[in-house]
Amino acid sequence: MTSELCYLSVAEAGTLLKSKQLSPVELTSAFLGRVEAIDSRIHSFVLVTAEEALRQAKVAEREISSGRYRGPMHGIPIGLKDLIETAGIRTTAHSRVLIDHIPVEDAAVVSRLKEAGSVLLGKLGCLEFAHGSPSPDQAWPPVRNPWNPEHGFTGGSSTGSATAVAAGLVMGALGTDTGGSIRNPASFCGIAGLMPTYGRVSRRGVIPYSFSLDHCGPMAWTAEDCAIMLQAIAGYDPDDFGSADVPVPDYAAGLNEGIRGMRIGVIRYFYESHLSSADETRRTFEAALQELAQLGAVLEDVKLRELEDYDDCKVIISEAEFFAVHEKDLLERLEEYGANLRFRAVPGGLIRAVDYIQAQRQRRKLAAEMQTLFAGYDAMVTLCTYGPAPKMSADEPTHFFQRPNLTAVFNVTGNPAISICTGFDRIGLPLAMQIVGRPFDEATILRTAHAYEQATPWRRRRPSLA
Amino acid sequence: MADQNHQPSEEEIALMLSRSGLTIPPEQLERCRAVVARLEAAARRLRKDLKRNDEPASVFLIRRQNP
Repeated sequence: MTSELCYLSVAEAGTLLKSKQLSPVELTSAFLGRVEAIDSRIHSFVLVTAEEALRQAKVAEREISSGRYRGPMHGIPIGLKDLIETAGIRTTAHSRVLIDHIPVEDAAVVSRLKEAGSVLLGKLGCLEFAHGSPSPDQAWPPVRNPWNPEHGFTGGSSTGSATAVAAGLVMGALGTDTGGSIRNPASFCGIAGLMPTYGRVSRRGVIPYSFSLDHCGPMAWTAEDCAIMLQAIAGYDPDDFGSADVPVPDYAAGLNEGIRGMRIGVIRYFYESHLSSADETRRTFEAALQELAQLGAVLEDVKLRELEDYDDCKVIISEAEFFAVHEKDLLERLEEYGANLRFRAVPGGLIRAVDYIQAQRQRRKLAAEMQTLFAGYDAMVTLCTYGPAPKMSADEPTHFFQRPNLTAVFNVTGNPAISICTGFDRIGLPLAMQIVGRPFDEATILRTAHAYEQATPWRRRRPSLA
Repeated sequence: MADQNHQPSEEEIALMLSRSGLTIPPEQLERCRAVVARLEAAARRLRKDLKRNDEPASVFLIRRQNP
């Protein structure tokens, strides 16, 4: 029964909670039991807040029982990437540098999820400051992929968020995305991960990696669940300088309208020189395109700039900004950072001011070109990663830079993008595609993703961790 | 920056880091070097197509204040 409850979607559980067929306390207890039983194999949590979770669940139960139902997140057990500050609850960014950091205030997204009535199960592991890689000198063991914990890299950096959702340890989670850190682990763990438009979701209280490129967004089993979570966290925040004062639509309203007649641009050339035509990932993507066409979408190849152009721009901006954020600590306590982050972070201090400015100038051009091109399309699709999750490696600080990133394109341009599962490889690891939308049009990519998920069997398979 | 194939030596990197106030052990410099080379290559390439009046994405946007 426990796994049945824990494998409900947010939408399914919300219906049961609203109709009082399911109690928030029962649901929360089931998740806490599963975390206790399973998480030692995948290490998705860095902190389980069981007592607080049960307290919040009891409050939700009282409110729902007395007719004060807050909406579809009410009583839903969630987790937060440990980069997102929580008042009175340790927030480490998965680093020894912040090992004793207890924030005074909640991040804006945490406040909004509390207002929506969700239940916080705990803080989830990530790559150190959203930028490191698994390193044996860190305070917690690396998060492992639930589809194959021994093989297991989970991508980065919202690793615990993706893992916990896939393993049924939380119903939904928040992650952050500066170059793909929601979409990449979502891809490797077979879940849905949405990076909203830059400015759509407040970053206030999210420990920064790169101010220009940081996004915060939902990660859940389905696109529909991402829509529900986005509804709870989206909206203008005057205390976030990057926040956009743009109305938030009802994301659930058009979710079931289908994609017939939708114009979708297909970006193949990003990966074609890296993957043979027989490659499993590539073939799976082609099958997903056929499915979209079957659903009535009109597909057309589209060409943007070279992938490297976006990647160069992203890397210069993010590395310089990361160094700026961490300069004091890097100078005073470098040894407290994990070894694999040190090698990445330190060179950021060598980027010249003029190079950073040229990258910001190039960014404006790239974003403008993208929005012009989008006039002809409702959405675009491409691969999310070059393949399934690679083997866990504890000693590869530079592999991150070796091949242009397929996700960072849209951090540079600011467009929303969602990663969804498109099948599994021959050893059972998930594969994924990215669906990209116009600025502030998350509704269209959620609708596309939902239509695809409804038409395919991939949401019916879970990792076997029992 | 003129030499497209320039790979900074460990000594050059150590010197540049010391100007930034950072000292890292010699055995760790090799791994830094790969990242520095990647950043330098990116910095060289991203200048293409920029015109004199192209503004950076980070230009400050002041918000109107209520009187």
